[in-house]
Amino acid sequence: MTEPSTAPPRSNRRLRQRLDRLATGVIAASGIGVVVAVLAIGVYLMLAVLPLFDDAEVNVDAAPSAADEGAIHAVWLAEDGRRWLTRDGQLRDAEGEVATLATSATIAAVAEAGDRQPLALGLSNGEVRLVPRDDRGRLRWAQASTMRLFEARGVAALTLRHAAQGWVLAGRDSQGEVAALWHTGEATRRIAVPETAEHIALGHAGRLAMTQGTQLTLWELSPDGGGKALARTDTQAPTTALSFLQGGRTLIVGDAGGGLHRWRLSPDDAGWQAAETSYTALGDSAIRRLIALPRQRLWLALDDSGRLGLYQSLSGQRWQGQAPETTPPTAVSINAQGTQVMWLDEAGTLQRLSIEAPHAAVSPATLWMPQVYEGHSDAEWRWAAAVTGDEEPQYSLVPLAWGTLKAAAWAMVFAVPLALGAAVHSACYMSRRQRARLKPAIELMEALPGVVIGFVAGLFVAPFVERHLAGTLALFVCVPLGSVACGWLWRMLSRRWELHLPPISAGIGLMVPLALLCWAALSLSPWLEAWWFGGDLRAWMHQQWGWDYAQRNALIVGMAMGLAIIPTLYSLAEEALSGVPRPLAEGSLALGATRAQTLWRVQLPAAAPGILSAVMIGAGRAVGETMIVLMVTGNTPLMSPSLFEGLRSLAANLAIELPEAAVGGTHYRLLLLGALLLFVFTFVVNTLAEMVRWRLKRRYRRYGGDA
Amino acid sequence: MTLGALLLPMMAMAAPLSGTLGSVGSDTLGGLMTQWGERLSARHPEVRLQVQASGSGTAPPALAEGVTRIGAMSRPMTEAERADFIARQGHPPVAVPVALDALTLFVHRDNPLTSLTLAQVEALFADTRFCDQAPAIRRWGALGLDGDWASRPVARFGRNTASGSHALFKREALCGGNFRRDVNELPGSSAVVAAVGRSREAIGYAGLGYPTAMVKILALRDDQGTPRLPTHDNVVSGRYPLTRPLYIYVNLAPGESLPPLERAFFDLVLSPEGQAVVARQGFVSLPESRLATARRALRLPPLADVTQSSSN
Amino acid sequence: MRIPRVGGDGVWRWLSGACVALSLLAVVALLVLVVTRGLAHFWPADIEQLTLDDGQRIAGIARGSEAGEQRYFTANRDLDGEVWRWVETQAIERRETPPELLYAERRDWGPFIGRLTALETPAGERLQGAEAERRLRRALAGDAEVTTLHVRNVEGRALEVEFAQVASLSWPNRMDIGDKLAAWGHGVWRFLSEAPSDGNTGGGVWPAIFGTLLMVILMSLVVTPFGVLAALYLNEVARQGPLTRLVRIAVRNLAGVPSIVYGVFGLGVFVYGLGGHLDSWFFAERLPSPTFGTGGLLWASLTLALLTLPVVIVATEEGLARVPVALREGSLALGATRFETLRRVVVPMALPSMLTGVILAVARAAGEVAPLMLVGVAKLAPEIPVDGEFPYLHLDSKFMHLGYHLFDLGFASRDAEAAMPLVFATATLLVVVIVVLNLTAIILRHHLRARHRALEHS
Repeated sequence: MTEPSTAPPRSNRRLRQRLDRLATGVIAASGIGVVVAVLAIGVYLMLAVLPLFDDAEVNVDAAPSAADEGAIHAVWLAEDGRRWLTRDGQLRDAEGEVATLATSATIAAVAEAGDRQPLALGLSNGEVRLVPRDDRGRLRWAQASTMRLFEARGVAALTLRHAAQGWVLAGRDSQGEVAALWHTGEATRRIAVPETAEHIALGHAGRLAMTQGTQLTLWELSPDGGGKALARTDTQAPTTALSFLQGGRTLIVGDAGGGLHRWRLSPDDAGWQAAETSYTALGDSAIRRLIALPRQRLWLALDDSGRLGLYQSLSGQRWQGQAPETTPPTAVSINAQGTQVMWLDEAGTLQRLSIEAPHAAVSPATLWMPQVYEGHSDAEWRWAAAVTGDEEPQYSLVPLAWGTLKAAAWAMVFAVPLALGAAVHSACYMSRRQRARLKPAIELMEALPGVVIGFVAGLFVAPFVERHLAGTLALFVCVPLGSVACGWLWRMLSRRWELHLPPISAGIGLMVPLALLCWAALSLSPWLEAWWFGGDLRAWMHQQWGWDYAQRNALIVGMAMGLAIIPTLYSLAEEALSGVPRPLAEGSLALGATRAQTLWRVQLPAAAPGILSAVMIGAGRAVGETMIVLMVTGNTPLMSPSLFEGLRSLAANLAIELPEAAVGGTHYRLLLLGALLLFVFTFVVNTLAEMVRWRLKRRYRRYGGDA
Repeated sequence: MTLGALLLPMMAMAAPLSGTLGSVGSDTLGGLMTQWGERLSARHPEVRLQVQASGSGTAPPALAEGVTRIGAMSRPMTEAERADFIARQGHPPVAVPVALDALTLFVHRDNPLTSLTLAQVEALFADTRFCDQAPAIRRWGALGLDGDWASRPVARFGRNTASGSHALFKREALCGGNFRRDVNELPGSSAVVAAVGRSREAIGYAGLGYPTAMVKILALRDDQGTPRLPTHDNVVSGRYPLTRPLYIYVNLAPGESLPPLERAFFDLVLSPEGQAVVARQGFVSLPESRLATARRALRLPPLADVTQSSSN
Repeated sequence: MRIPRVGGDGVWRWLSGACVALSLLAVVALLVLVVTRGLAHFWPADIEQLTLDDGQRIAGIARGSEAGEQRYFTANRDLDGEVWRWVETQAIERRETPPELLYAERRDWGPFIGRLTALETPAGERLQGAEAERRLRRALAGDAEVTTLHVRNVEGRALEVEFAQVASLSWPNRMDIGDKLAAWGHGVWRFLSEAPSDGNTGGGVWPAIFGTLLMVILMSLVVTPFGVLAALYLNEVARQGPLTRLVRIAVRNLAGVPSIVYGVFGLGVFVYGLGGHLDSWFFAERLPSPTFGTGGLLWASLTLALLTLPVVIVATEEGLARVPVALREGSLALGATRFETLRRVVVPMALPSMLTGVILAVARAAGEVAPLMLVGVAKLAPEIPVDGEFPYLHLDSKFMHLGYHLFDLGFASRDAEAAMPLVFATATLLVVVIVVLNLTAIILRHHLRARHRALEHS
């Protein structure tokens, strides 16, 4: 900005006007810019969250690679789709043969389990050939070893899964007989399974699922070569396809009527969860193939009419479409990210499918409705981000929202009476000078950093209250009674010695007696506890009401956060109360009402909207407070309303988990969704409060107030 | 110390190293990293180490995003994290073991309990039963304590999900199952120990380096039922069941050698001086053989001559 | 105002009074707790030597007791493996405070408690007894040189400590009140002026103080012009209508949006978005080592600037609204342009309220921790982001922050019990900084109101 001369001559007028316009422009531009930047927060969060709810997409490559003569009898396809293995043991690429696996029999079945486990080839002579991998996951064809699975007949189907220190492999021969191999690093043991099956699938820890018609059987294999049947159940229709999902605890069963069902291992792994869960059917043709994808509990289902569907274990069908018009797939490959599936069909055509469903685990139902998670028997709301990579993520926002509201609610329970009481006292019972002294004190309170309050409450108050629970609870009774008693005493005293007592406000005057009272209550409570509750209030509570007491609980959060929001509440409520036009109160008093009557019948109703807005703004602060909740609670995502149990709030959850979340991943975006919820909630509540306040001000003006 | 004094002028002459190294990751390793940082600055006055320690889970995204080159982790990377790193950076990260640690179970010092089996640990902390089928333990009485302990409820403390301790405990002690929802998740190991120390009914897990006057370390029973305390020998030999190496992951393309700053850092960490810090922080220093392997993997000069001169 | 005493009236008066009293009491109790514990940390307490009934000897500083047991801080982590001892009160046969017991803070193994047996000097001398102590005192004052201290704990186990390892050394049992006060002052000074050591559990908090201040200064450099401009726009330039009112309400409400949400925004937009782009444009040669693509001073300051923008806007607007219309109209009537009126009349009058806004913003920013956890605060960043090396101020570096340091000490230090006094000390410091800032704002506002009142009445 240039400096205009102090006494601008007339000739400068144009310059001055230009300057004026320029300055106005600059101010307007930066002003609008700032406002836009600030509002961009909401927009950014929205944009970052939206992809969560994008539809899943499966793109079928419209132009499949032309049929290759050499790929007609492929049984295995490499991840990049460039190499394949034919059933006579030829490893080929588009150019021709690359290597040959010396074998006298043909390859009838193939099984793979990620890039750490060997490739298993089932041969028509009953043998299994295992191709090991090096530490970078590349197959070492030359080092293949051979083991015998069946004596008499050839292998018809194979399934492989990693297990403790090694892998398990199960196979079915052409007559439906089943046998397995368990490799533990040192030894490989064959396990005979005296069952016949049409379809087999291996889950975690040697759980083997087999189907024959409508019968579903679950076996447990063990590394020492044993095995036993765990459960037999019936499915609705004859099974045509079977697959365990990632993690090996959820089995998907496709049947002849096109139905798709989920069976989950029960919490003890010894059977199935109570009921099967059905998914939206693809159509009415039999399910031909189920392809479980890695990284998520996601799978592709293909039926006899060529319908193709993408499903997620919890959120259900995510996409449905038409598979390329081909003959059935013979060799399928899936990349490690689970984003690309390729297969060679019977004609030797290579089909490519790209799958884009990064957030398939999220749907409104999984976020807000209780779900039966793996390892549990009941539908529950749970929040637990995946940390080991293989477990089922539990993404329900309900416990977090619950915790947020619970913390805020208990904080309000503590803060509202105290702050309103204080506001009433200073607006109605204090002189202007006393008020002028109290206000800065309370404002200082507002500036106390949350981290200091949180630290004192979490590391000092929480253990203290745990040890002196009875005393703390006694305070809630003693303090109101005590203060009324003090008032009574004071009046008795002041009648007699009115002239000798200093004219102090009840608020300040009560501090010392209240401090003494608190001290007395805390030091007397052990005796009270011994007398009434058999020495241990917590044990007594547990016996009487079944309440458990957690050290980090809503009581402490309520007290700590209450302390943090009292100043906000107080300032706003005091403003509303002292803004009530004086003539109203004076009129009431003049008509003979007592102060209490005036307060309850005139002042409070008149200020009610203002007080309501104060409460709303206070609630907004409590909902978003992070450090106090983070440090004071145990961050337990529980859903209990109990004052004595912990909670986990959205804000604290953000602080704990956001730094660890992979940018752009489901977890990251869900956390951002949490932030968006907080943003929207506080924004809406504050806007409402602001509108209420604005209306109130207008009303007061009408009554002749000066606020 | 004499070694440092000898090396300092030499190195200063050879290459006056300067710059800032950033590290993101494990809170368990946080104390170690800060100490190594102090020592690194003592060796090379112009070099600084900045440590962000909010949990092992923070390291892989930061490494993959290129936000840091060094990530401290108290657990190995998961397959998914590794794959993400490779997808972004084009090569796998190098894991350098820098110390040994054990997940330790703490109780209040007044608690008469001395040891637990792994099945009991699962029954205490998990909602699922992926290892064993023991019924849930809610009262101390279920662990064989009597008197007024029998009816006392168990309060459980643990680390937040970002931490390697959480992930490793989940994988090793719960067999990948789910934690009970009432396990308090605290954002720091010492917070766990402090909380246990202030609550008589509490049990908690954390890394090895955090004992205080208020808590007692529990022994874990191995397969034969012998109680094993997480002592130096039991950890090195792996007889204590919940033993783990602590890693520092480096973003290092195959065939490349370490940039000078990282080189100086690892030269310190994988030296007797650096390992003395490990012992001082209450963790277990790497045995010589693993130290040598780690140095070889990073193409650092072998320690043979150095150990002789500093063994006085 | 005298209150008429009519039945039923008193209850409400006293109950509401109790609310005031209780709120104040809670704050006072909190402050007293924090400040006394924080300041007591630097007091050189007496070292007791205990002889137990089984003949064992223990030396330590008493720190609390519990049901028949006393807890002693015995230091000597390298000798005992731990620094705390619980002693049954009944088992204590004798308690004494031998004057020769020394308390040394070492850089490596934390404190040591014991006796000095001998001293080595660079000349190879080996001094003992009183002479050794005299020499040591001179060395501590910087007048003499010493290489190694030979010390023993009370059980008689010997230890060698290099003098360079000693951060401070004293004989607390020999100090009188004056000495102790001096030592206390020295301790406070070291806390304020030194960098953290021993894995953040020892030393001082100077980098955290500096980091907090620097971040706050950078933040106010950003927030002041933009906040004032936005307020000027809303109040003076924009046409006053429903839209402006809506925007004003929105801006006001942003003050109520949780700070962690700003942190999320900062992480997503500044660090990953802007920072990542800056890196790929200007610092591509350093990739994959990030320069601005990681949390740091700049992004933290910007995030907090955004967070405190509503505070400044609201305060400034309040000030602008208080400028009497007559003054503006007078200025305009005298032929000044709108900009000149703003510059010469309105802004100077609103200046104190702008200042109040900025100070309040600073006070808020100094106490915020949650957003910083996402955008660049570090557990340890011992160097100060200002140095003699171009570009002198390193906006990309990570920094320490008092509030986060407090959180980190309380939750992630090595020995939670031993760090507790330090946490209280840090909390005291943080509270003092914030109270001072707020008091300034309050006093400023008070003066400003008085001035306006005078103007309005004149």
